[in-house]
Amino acid sequence: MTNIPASVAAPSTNSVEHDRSLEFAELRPKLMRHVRLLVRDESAAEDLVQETLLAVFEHREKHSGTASLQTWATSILKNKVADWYRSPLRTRMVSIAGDEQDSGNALEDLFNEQGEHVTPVQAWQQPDAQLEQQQLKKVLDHCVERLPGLQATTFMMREWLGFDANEVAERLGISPENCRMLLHRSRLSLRSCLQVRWYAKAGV
Amino acid sequence: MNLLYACRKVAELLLLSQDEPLGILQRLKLKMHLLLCGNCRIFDAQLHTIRHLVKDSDLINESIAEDHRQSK
Repeated sequence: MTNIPASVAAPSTNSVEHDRSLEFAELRPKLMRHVRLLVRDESAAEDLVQETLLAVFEHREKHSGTASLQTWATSILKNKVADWYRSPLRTRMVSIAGDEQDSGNALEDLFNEQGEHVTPVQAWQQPDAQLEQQQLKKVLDHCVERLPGLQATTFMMREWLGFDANEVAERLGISPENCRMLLHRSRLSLRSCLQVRWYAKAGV
Repeated sequence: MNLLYACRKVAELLLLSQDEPLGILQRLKLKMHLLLCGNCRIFDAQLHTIRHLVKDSDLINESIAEDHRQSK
């Protein structure tokens, strides 16, 4: 199993095949970046990516041109991560030391003592062009990666894997209240991150 | 009973409603507030935008993953 990336990345004389193998070689680090948001156990994360690469490699002739190899691989990874979280055999090892206990509530920065918005809320312009939409998606990925610790994990489990909030709490072995707070903070953080890194620039 | 929520309370409920259903009274008071308050309407729309950004990017992926599963 471990020799897959090497054989996949092996140069080929055929130029189309060669492009493909380049794509394969780039796949692994991209998938690793993605899976680390969701799975904090490094060896489990490696295994999931390895299994995904194997599945991609085994079914590579089934991959048609409708989506990029990366998109396709990411969707396979998604299923594998969801299955992994659903598996009752999985030993849940979640460290919630430190990062969740940070003080402060981002809502306090947004509202005054009367509970009013401190500054007018800026409407977000829907990007119309597909390219713009893709760029926005990249900014979002970047913002999710910047979320501290379990905020990213809870958010991605909830929104990307589609678990409900109680499931997320259960699978991570944290209390529902803690989970709700993490989700709540992650949404607020993403909102301000998108505001600063995308909408504030797009608006002018 | 205070009929009107402050914007801060509305933000809390909007965040909460992303993850669980609200009570009928909460929904009603929320609706009333949103009717009158543009800032909170935008805030609500922003939360939905974030959700859809994560989901939409997946629409194509979903069908492909489905194909992949069936082909196994």
